[in-house]
Order: sequence, then C-alpha cells, then structure tokens
Amino acid sequence: MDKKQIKNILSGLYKIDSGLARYENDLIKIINKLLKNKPEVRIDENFIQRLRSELMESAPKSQEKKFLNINFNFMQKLFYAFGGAAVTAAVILLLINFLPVRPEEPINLALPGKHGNEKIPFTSGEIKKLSANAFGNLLETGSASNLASGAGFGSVSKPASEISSVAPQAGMAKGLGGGGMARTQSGVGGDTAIMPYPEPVAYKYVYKGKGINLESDKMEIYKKNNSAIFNGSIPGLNTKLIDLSKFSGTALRSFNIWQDEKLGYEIYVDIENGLISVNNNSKGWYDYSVVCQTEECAEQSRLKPSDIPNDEELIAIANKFIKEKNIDISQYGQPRVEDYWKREYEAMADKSNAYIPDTMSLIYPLLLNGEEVKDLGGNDYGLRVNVNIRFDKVANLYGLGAYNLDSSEYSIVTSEEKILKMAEMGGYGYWYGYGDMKVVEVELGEPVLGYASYMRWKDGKNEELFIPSLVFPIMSQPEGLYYRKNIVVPLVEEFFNQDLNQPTPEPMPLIQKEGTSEPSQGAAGGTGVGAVEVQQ
Amino acid sequence: MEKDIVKAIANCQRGRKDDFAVIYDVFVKKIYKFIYYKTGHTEITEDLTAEAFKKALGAIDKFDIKTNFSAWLYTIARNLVTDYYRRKKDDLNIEDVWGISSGEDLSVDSDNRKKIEEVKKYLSKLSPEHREIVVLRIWEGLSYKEIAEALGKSEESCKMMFSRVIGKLRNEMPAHLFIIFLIKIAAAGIRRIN
Repeated sequence: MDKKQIKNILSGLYKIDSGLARYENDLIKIINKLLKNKPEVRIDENFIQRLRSELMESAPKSQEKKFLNINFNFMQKLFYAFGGAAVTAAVILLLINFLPVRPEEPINLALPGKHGNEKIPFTSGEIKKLSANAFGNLLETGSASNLASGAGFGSVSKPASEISSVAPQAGMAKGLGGGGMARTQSGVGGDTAIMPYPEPVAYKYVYKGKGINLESDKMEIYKKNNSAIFNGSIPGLNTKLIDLSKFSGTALRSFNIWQDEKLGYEIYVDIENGLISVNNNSKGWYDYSVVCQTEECAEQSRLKPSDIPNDEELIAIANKFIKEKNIDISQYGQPRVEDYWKREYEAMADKSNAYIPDTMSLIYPLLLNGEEVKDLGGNDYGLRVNVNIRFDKVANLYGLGAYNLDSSEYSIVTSEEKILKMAEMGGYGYWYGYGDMKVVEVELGEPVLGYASYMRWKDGKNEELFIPSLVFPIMSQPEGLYYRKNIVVPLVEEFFNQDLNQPTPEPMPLIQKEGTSEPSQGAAGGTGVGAVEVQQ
Repeated sequence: MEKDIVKAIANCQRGRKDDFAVIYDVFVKKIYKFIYYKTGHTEITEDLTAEAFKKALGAIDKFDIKTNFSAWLYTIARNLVTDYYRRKKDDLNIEDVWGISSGEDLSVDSDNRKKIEEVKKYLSKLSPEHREIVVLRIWEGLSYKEIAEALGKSEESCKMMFSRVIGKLRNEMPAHLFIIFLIKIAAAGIRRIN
C-alpha cells in the first residue's frame, strides 16, 4: 500500500470534516481495502495508436436535414416509440389544413437558440457555474404555493392542510396514486354521514441526535435553465388562414400528440419549461365506478388488497414502459412504490368497505450531486409513474424534465440552534403555537445534506431552484393519518428571515347542534381534516 | 480548461479536424481508465472508448467552447457505459459493472475479477455518482480540482460528496468486519470441538 497516498487522502478528508479524524483506523482500513483491490488497467498502446489513426482518417458526418426540424435527443426516440404513424399522420393533417402560401419555402419548426439556427437538444445534465448570489433574493416573489409543492409541473406532494389528526374514523384524504374516499361509515348521529371534527393537533419535531456541524458557510444553489430552449421563431410557416411568419419572434412553447387507439397515450411536451408528461388517452381506461350502474357491478369490480401486485412487479411494469419508450432516466434514482394508500388502509378501523385504488404510484427520485431531491414539505420529488393495476400498464408519467442547471454560491446558515428551531416547527413556512392544542412530539433522525425544489415566480414566469437543505427523516409515524416522511430545512439564509414566532391561527370553532351526539362542522369547517400544521 | 485544449477545440470548429489529435492525446487514457473502472473488461472498454471519441469528434462543432469540455467528454463516456449495460440487462437500474449482482454473468477480466468482487459489496451500495468520486479520488488519485473538472461540479461539492461517501463506507464496513469476526470465532469453536 502507498502510505503517502493514504496520508494525502486522509489529510484532504480532515480538512473537509475534522470529525472524521476520530475514525482514522476505520478510514485507513477502507482506503487500504480499495487500494489493494484496485483493478489493474493495462492499456494496449497499439489500440491507442490504431484508434488515433482511425479518428484522423474519418471525416465528420454532416447532419441530415430533417423535415420536422425539432431535434430533441430523446424526444425523437419518443416519437418513434409512440407510433411514428400517429405522429406522421398528425403532421400530414397539419399540412393539409394549413397549406403554405409560398410552398417553395421550407416549413421549419426549428427552435433556433442563441447561436442562430443551431438547434438546442432537449437533453439534461449540464451545469453552468455563475457568480455568487447570481439568482438574487430567493424570496423576492416567493409564494405559499412553494410549500410542500416543489415542482411547477407534475407536483403531487401533499399540502400540510391534508395532514389529519388522530381521529381513526375520519374519512381518508385523497392520497397519491389515486387513493379515494373510504366507503366506511364515518358519520355520527342522525342520518347524515358527517365526519367528526377531529381534535386539532400540533406536531413538534424533536431531534436528539449528534450535533449538526456544517463545515462550509457557502453552498451552491442550482437553477433550472430553460432559456436556451425558448428563444426563437417559426420562420416560413404560412397557412391559408393566417401567415404565422408575420408574427416576429414567435416560438413553439408546447404541443400535444395523441394516440387514437384503445389504452393509448397522450403526450404533452412543455418546451418552455423543459418538461414532458405522458397520460392515458382515456380510451378504454375506464373507471369502473363510472361505468357500473348497480351495486352488484361495483362490488364485483372493487379491488382487494390481494389484487395489488407487489413492489417488484410494479417496478418491472414501469421499467418496461420506460425501456420501450426510450425514456432517459439517467438523472433519477432507484424507483420505489409509494404507500400512502396502504397507510390509509391500515389506519381504518373497518376495512370491509375500504376503497383500494386502481393505480399505484411510483417515484423515481431526482438526483442532484448524488443526493435525492425533496420538496420543501419533505416529500419525494422526481419522475412519477402511475401503474393501472387493472391492465398492468403505465397510465401516467410526469415530472420528466431536461435538467440543465445554472449554479451560484450563496451563504448558508450553520447555526445548529437556528436549524433545529426551523426543524422543530416542521420546516420552512410551517409554524405552530401550542395554545389549547394537543402537542405530539415526533422524533427526527440524523439529517442528510440534500436539496429541496423551490419554485419562485419572477419576471412573469416560474423558476425552479434547488436549495441545499438538511433533510431530517421522521423516525416514527404519529397515530392517525399522518403523511410526512421528512422535515426539510433549507439552509440559505433568506429562508430563516421569516418570522419564526408568528401566532398559530386558531382552528374554526365547532358549532354544537341540538339533538346530535357529536358536534357538526362549523360554517367554514373545511374538509373535516384537522389543520395540525399551518402553512404560511 | 487548458489553453491547448481550448485552442484545439476552436481549430476543430474552424474545420481543422487534425487538431482533434491534441484533445485525443490528453484524454484518451483518462477516458479509457474511467470506462475500465466501470466495466472491468478490456474489450468492452476499447469499444466504448473508441465510440466515445468518435462521438466527440462528430459533435465537436456543436460544443460550446465556454463550457467544460472535460465534463462533456466524461458524460459521453458515462452515457455509453450506461447504454451498454441497459442493452445488456433488462433491469434498467444497472449502469455499470457494480450494479450486477454477484453470481450473475460478470464479464470482467479474469485477473481483476476477484478484486472487483472484494470491493463490490461496498461500491455497489453507492450511487453511480458517488462511486465515480471514490474511484477518481482513490484509484485514479485525482485532486478535487481535477475531479470537479471531470464531473462538471464545483470543487467544494466534490469534497463534501467524498467525505460523505467515505463516512457512509465507514458505517457499512464495521458490520461486515464484525460478521467476519463472528465467523472466525465460530470456526475456531468448531475446530476446538473437533
């Protein structure tokens, strides 16, 4: 083993995290193990020279002129995969109905970028570093819609108002992947099924682990960069009805394509935001609850827990679809099946009439620097795939994005006290006040440094930023319908400038009706789900 | 980016493709090793290295000279390896040889097979990105600056990622050593009985 090399690696490590010095013996073992088992690489010099000659002799290939001049690297494969016939038919239809006034000019739907007519591929993975604080004040036009929502497209995270209290008979909140309302008797008194107003609860998040020690007081924030895609014109496209080329500076912002067949798909391409979604085309994807007219029919079509494929089967269905359609998921991590419906189901006292959803939701988490991205509510964020288990087919896919990013360094908060205070409240934008509310302590696990997706409205458009954050996992789920998995504390200073001591809005008072055994909801009672964490 | 490389790229973009040789000479062995550490197989590495440089030559006209060429080239190489394994295996989650389970067909050079198996249990648990950082830092001995150049990240990010990954490996390893310790005790006990 090369002692000097090990020493060099260790000294570099200790500069980053001095705490690692405590484990020097273990680290030496790890590095020794890796060095000892380093595969030997033998490079054949003949191969190197041969390849060099071959490259020098070859001429660069010229690019073919394409009729439909939109060059998205993975998009073209998507078109072919979804039935070139359907797309071709759509294009022909377009041409028949919108014949060019001057046919000698090409119909060019090219999206010229900043380099003139050069087409910008719809690919991902580029990071461009900008100067410090290049994105300005992050909260300048921030809004409450950021909370627990994360993405501007395809976001499926749950707002805090859906987090219920401990009432076991409360109706189920609509979960991800199609969880529906329970057909259970949740009503009380009288002959109207009124959900009992659950006791409001405040959650206090408590961390008792090792000290939080952030070495650096500056970190990179990333901003999704769509500017290269949306900057062009549509020259030469004239129609009998209107000459579009007379509108200077126009560009194609989005389009749909659609399969006209049973169990087919509709694909929406949002060029402006660099996002693509695939949805079922509704033909044949019927909802039994809509089709059935009798209770007997509904009963027969109702799903049981045993009808749900296991996670491996669901992942295999999703992966097969992704592979068939040549979808690029290189920026996403390992898929997992979401279990909101299961938690709701388990929380029900009477499961006999429980509704089992016919679509199961999977998440392929977006990765940034090897870490999973969350939304500010702590929910998983990334590519979502819904599998319809009646047909064992993917019904929806959304959150597929071209992630090219700008990065800029910002100051971060390193004070453990401040970080834990925000964590205690439930993260950015959450606060609680005890008052008369029941307080339930929720234990947090050791945080991981990751990123949170944050949407900002600026200059008339949405911008997506990825904020370095500490992600505290929730170690034990409180009783009742509680959905949060993580508490996310964004580390950038601006997020800590909110008033952390705002009073909690009081829950709506109950109005006791005469003759009923339980209180009914008040005038503005909302959904019947207790507001236990209040969003800003 | 080194001035020679910038100049070579600019010349290529002006039509002087011979200057691609400058780029090739600087990067070929780095890319070769990068791919080898992901495949463990000489022939596959040679094929993918050749393809990487052919692609780079074919696309050099479109390369934005203001961006990071090293990261671009490494990305081409990485994507080729990923595509290779996704064609080879139905399981989409395999991006390199570290994702293949032990016992499955492992097309690696026989003299490196044992070494790869020894460290697979640790490296396979890391994300591909974390694995790359470990390989580049420990096996290739690159500085954080060089790693940042190769991966298109900031030096600070690379440092933090590496320290986190080493911390994670440290947590994994003691359990493994403990199990080996137990096995050794059990084996010693059986020998005493016999």
